[in-house]
Amino acid sequence: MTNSLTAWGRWLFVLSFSFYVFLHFGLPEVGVNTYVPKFLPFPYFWNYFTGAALLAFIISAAIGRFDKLAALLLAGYLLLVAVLIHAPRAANPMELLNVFRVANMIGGALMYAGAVARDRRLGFGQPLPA
Amino acid sequence: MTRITGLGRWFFVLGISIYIALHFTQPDVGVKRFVPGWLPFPYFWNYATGVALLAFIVSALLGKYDKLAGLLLALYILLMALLIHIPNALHGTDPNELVNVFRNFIAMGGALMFAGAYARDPRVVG
Repeated sequence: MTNSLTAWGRWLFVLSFSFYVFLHFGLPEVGVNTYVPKFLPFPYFWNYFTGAALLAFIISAAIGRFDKLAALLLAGYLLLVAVLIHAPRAANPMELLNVFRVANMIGGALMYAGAVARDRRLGFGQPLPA
Repeated sequence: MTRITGLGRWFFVLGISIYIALHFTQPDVGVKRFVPGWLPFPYFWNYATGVALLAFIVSALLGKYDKLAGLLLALYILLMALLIHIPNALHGTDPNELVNVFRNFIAMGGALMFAGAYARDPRVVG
């Protein structure tokens, strides 16, 4: 019984990122003004590009193609979000909280890549047996 | 690469640790903003849930009863979403509450993946 329960974990994890896709595309000004680092040129590009990347992770996980690679890239993206955006502002308690929130998500992405992903092509691992 | 993905469980556990600090160092914030108003003994719930989070971390570090702890963590996060963040999001008091609902679901998914694939001790829950 518990195994069928834990099997829901992957979908809760994956599908919840759809909200961030909505935020990236529905509220681009918030992303650009609050989250894209000021030293980066073309801030709207980075807002939409990372939104598309999150959508690509969701699609990859949903269809089970290149999903280990997608989860590893998600972990890399989240690490960059923590290091480039939240950690420099960590004097603000909410931003410190965000660093730990993102660490939690990195953990989820790596657990997904390590144990849940079905297609390990280009994911630096062997394909799972059929 | 297996070493990198093996770090996932520890990143997940690390991410939970900040909440223990928050539950114990800022109990007034927890009681005023997060414990549902209809629950009696709000300080008890603030500290009890802080202890529960600490128990999850200790359990994960020791590898004892960690599957049970992962499932209970998922249940706790689900209750947080249902009792705190979803009602707050519906009442429109703070737009961040809707973000918190989805953050909760991401963390809940992580807790279930931890319980299903990374926990070492399946006692009690099988």
